[in-house]
Amino acid sequence: MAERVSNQSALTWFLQRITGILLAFFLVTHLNVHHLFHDITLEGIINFSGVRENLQASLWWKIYYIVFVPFIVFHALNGLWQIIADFRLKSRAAMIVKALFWILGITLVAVAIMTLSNLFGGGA
Amino acid sequence: MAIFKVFRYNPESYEIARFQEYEIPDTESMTVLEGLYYILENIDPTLAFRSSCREGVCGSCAMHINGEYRLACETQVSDMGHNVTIRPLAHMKIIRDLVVDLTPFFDNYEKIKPYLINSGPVPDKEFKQSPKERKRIDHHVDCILCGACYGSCPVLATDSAYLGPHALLKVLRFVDDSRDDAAYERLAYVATDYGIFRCHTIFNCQQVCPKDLDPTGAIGKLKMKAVKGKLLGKLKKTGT
Repeated sequence: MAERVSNQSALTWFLQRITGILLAFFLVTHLNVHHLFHDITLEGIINFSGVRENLQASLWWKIYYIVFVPFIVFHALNGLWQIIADFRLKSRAAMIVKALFWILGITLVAVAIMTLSNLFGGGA
Repeated sequence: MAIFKVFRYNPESYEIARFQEYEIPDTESMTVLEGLYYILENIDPTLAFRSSCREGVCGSCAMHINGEYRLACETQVSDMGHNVTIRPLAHMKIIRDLVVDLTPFFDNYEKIKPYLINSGPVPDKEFKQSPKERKRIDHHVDCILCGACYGSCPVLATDSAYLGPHALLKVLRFVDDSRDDAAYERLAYVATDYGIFRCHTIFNCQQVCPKDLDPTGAIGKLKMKAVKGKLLGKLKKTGT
C-alpha cells in the first residue's frame, strides 16, 4: 500500500448511482410532460412551438431542466469513461481522455443552459 | 470410461498449443485430479499440472473443467459426463500445459497487506476477539487462494492492474476484523479505478468459488464502506 492513490472514484461511483436514480425520475416526468399526457403535436406531429409552449407554462420547468442537464451529462460521460477505463489506457492517454471529457461535459452543459435560457426567455 | 481432452502447451518447444485426448478406462468414484494422475502415471508422463492436498484445502489444482473453473480434486468425473475438457486458469502466462505463472495473482494479493495491522500496544498473550466479532469474518477467512475467481473475472482479461476478487475479498476480511485498525488505510488503497470500482458486479467470481464465498458481495460492501468513508472525510490519499 505504498503507492500514492486518489479516491475520487468513490465519489464518482456514488454520483453515478445517485444520478442514475434521478434520471429514472427525470425520464418518467419528461415522457409525461412531452409525450404521454400533454398534447404538443400539430396535426399529429411533434413540433418545436408545442414543446416551447409547454415548457414556458411554468418556471418550474426551467429549473427542472437546468438542474437535470448536468446530471445527464455527468452520468453519460462518466459511464463512457468507465467503459474506456476497462481497456487500461496508459496514464498519459487516460489523462488526455479525462481532460477531453471534462471539456466536452462543460461545453455541453453550457450550450444546454444557454439554449434553455433562450427558450424560456422567449427567444428562439 | 471417459475421454479427457487436455490443453497442452510447452512454450520452450516450437509446438502450437493444442488439445490432447486421453482415454481413461475406469472412472468410477474418480475425481478429475485422479484422472490427471492416471494419465501422468500410465499414459503420458510429460503432462504438467499442479496439485498438493487432494482434498480442497490447498487450492493448487484450480483449472477450467468443462466450461467452469473448479478444483480438480473436488470434481467427480461422473458429474462431468464422458467427455472432460480441461484448460488452465485464464489471464496468466502458461508455464506448461495446465500450470500457469501465478506471479500477478500473488503480487496483487501482497499489495493489499494480507496481515493484521495493529498500532496499539502488544498484549501479553493475544489480541482478544469475541465470538460475535469473529463471526463477522467467518465467511471471508475460508478463501484458499486457488485463483478460480481470478481466472473467471472478465475485468482481469483486459486489465491486469485490477487487484482481482481474491485480493479484494481479503481486504474485507481485514477491514471487518476487530483486531485490525487500518481499515481506512485499506479502504483508501482499494477505492480507486483499479480497485473496487473496476468491478462491474458480474458475479463470475461468486459463481465459481469452490468454497462458496462471495467476492462480489464483499466488493459491494467495500464500495459502500469506501463511499461512507469518503463522505465522512476519513478516506485520505495513502502512501508517501
